Amino acid sequence: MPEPRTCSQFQELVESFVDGESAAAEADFVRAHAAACATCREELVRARELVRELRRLPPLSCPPRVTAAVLARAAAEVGEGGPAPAAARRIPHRFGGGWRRLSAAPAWGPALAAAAAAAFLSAALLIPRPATSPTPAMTAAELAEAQQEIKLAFAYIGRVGRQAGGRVADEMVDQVLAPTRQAFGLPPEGRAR
Amino acid sequence: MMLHRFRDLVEEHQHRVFTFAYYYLGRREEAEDVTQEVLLRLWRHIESVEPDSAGAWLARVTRNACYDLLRSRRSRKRLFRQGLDGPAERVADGAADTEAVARGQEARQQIERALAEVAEPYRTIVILRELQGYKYQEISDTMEMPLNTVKTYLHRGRRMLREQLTEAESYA
Repeated sequence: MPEPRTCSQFQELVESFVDGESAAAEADFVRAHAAACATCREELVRARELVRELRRLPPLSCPPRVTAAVLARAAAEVGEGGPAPAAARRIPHRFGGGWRRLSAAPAWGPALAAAAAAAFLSAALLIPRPATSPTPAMTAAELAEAQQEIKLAFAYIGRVGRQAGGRVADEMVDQVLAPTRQAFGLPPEGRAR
Repeated sequence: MMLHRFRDLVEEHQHRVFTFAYYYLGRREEAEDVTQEVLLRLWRHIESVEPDSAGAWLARVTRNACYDLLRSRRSRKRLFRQGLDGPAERVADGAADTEAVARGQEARQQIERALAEVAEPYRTIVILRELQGYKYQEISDTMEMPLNTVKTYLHRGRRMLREQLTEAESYA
C-alpha cells in the first residue's frame, strides 16, 4: 500500500507542475493537494508568480561603448596581423583578478599624445644644433608661444591623469617632462593638478 | 573576413551576453567589464568558434567570466557592502504610469537581489532558462550536464529564489 502523499512530496513536484512537465498522476496529486492544503496552495501560487516575474524581467541593451571598444581593438589587431594569441587575452583589472574596461579611445592616448608633443617640442627647442645648421634662432614670441603650448599640454595631462587616478601623470611629469618644465623656467610645484 | 564575422557575432549576441552578466552580477559596471572581456575572448577564438555554436560558447564563457569575477569580488576586502546598481537600460521601454513603473522596478530589484543570493550552478540555470529562454537541451549542452540534472537544478534554483524572496519579505 503506497504511503499517503505529503506536503514535502508536494514541494518536490510543484516546480515540474508549474513547468507543465508532471506525469498525469503527479499532476493530479498536486491539484488535489493544493485544493486541500492552504499552505501548499499558496506555495503553488508563489511558484507560478515567480516564474511569471522572472520571465518579465526585461532583456537589457549592451551599451554601445562596450562593443565599440571591442570592435576597435579587433580592427586594430587586424591591422597588426590578426587576433593576439589567447594567452594574451586577459587584461588586469583595476582591482586585480578581473578585467579592465577598454574604451574606444584609450584613456591615456590623448595624454600620451600631449606628452609626446610636449617632449618633441622641447627636444626640438633644446637639442643643440650643429654649427653648420642654418636653423634660425627662436624669437622671443615663438618661445613664449612654445611655453604656452607646453603649459596647455601639462594642464591636459594633469586633467586626464586625475581622471585615471593621477599616478601615471605624476610619473610622466617627474620622469619625462620635468626637465622640459625646468628648461622653460616653469616651477616644479606648478604641476598641473 | 574574420573581422566581418566577428562583427556579425557581436551584433547578434552582445545584448544576450550583457543581460546574462547583469542579472548574474547585479552590477552594471561589472556586467560591462565582463561583456567586453567575453567579446574579446570571442575575437581571440574567432577561428575556432563555429557560428552555429557561438551562442552556447558565449553563454559558457560569460558564465565562467561572471563566476570568476564574483569570486574575485568576494575575495576583496570590502569596507562596506555595496548596493545594487540602478536598473540598466531596457531594450524597449513601454509607456506606463509612474506608479506602476515604480512598483515594477521595486519588484524587479527584489528579484535581482534574490537572484544574486542563489548559489551556483542554480543561478546560471535559472537565468538561462527563465530570463533568456534557453531550452533545456541548450542548457544541457551549454553547461555540459545531463538533461535531468538541468531540470532538477532549475527547480531547486527556483525554490531557492522563492525562499530568498520570502526571507526578504519577512525582513521588510
